[in-house]
Amino acid sequence: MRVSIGQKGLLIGVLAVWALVWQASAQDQTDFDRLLDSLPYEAQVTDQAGVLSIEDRDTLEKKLTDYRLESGNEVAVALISSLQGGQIDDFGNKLFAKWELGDADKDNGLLVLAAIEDRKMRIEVGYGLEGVLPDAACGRIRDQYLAPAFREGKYAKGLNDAVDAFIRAIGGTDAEGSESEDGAPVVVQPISGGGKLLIMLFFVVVVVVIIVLGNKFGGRTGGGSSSGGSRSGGSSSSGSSGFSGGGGGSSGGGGASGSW
Amino acid sequence: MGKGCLIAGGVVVVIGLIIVSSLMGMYNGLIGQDENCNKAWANVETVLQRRFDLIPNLVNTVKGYASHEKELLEEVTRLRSQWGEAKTQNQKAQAGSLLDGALGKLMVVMENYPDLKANQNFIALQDELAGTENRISVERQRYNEAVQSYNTAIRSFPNVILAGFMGLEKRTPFEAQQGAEKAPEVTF
Repeated sequence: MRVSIGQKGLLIGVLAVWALVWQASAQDQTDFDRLLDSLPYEAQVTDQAGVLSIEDRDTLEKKLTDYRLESGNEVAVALISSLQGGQIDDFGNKLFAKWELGDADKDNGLLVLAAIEDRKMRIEVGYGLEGVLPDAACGRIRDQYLAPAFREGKYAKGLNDAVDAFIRAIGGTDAEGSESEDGAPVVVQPISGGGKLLIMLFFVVVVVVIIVLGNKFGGRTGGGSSSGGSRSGGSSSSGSSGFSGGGGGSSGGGGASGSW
Repeated sequence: MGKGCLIAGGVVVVIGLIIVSSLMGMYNGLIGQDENCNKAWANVETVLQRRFDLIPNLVNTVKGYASHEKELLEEVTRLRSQWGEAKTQNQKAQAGSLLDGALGKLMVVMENYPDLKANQNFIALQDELAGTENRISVERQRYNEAVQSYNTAIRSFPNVILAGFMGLEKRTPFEAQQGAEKAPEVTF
């Protein structure tokens, strides 16, 4: 009798600790994140401003997906209508981080962002492409292709030419992930997830051992205690069908900004 | 008799293990936070170094066109070496922000020199410098995030007790630059 109460108490205690640890791992959202939420990554070309015709958008999309397939490099285009007073540099970096362009180990992503009403643009380069696309090269592509075409309202032409130029500059082959090593971003995390899992697993094992031992030595201590053990925490977020999404790459503010 | 002892002993052992493992978790968590800050600071230094390397080239290019700005160029060069000589984290941060101001001023002044602005070399340098400044602001922001999370961690209960034993002190984030053209925080 006493045994089962002790078991119950312990179980409740362990579950409480578990709940606390899980709760702590939940990230709190900021306003900025919520704003970014209005731009989900559903295609490599996102035209929220609605300045591209459907054919133009599809052509560009196909060019970018083909390029990604053959080279692995992930180029995304985002056209928004307004930054609503925000800074394009900052927004570009945050959007890149949200979309996780490029592979996690190569950081071979590239984002071309334009705020049409603000007449501001940003080319954000993943860490892994900084070597082949230095800021000056991005600036040249901006001055040569994007800005002149945008000034005339020829957004599709500017983007197409710029993307071609980027592809030429990067080359068809995989980019060397040389710079991604030292420039890797710092991920802020409360306590390492793996460690937490290990501790929780340890607790569960201890509880199971106690219950088993208790049952063994307690003889007929009401075999009602069902093992609350195996609860799988594997909540894999199922991606949207077709589009594979970002590869986990990151950037650190390299690239070029400008207005037209 | 044996049964009671065994259960009691088991409970004590389990409680002991729980305390030890949670202490371990806390300790490792705090160490991780501390390391995150160090890593973030290292990234800030990397991008500051990048700017450091860029300045001589910039100064040399500008010199040819804008001889009137000798004083400003000397100031930039002086602040650059001041940053290079800075030893502690605080000194570096301070020298870095002074350099920010001087370079910003230089970039504004350059607007008065059309010949310079048309120079291909200068355009490339300007893009590199702008990209570097942006990288600096990104890495500073990330450092601040790491520091904020660290500072919260070491001051929250029960971490605060352990942090005291470990000698972990509060870290200082970068302050938002006043009058800078780029605001670190964006409000929509």
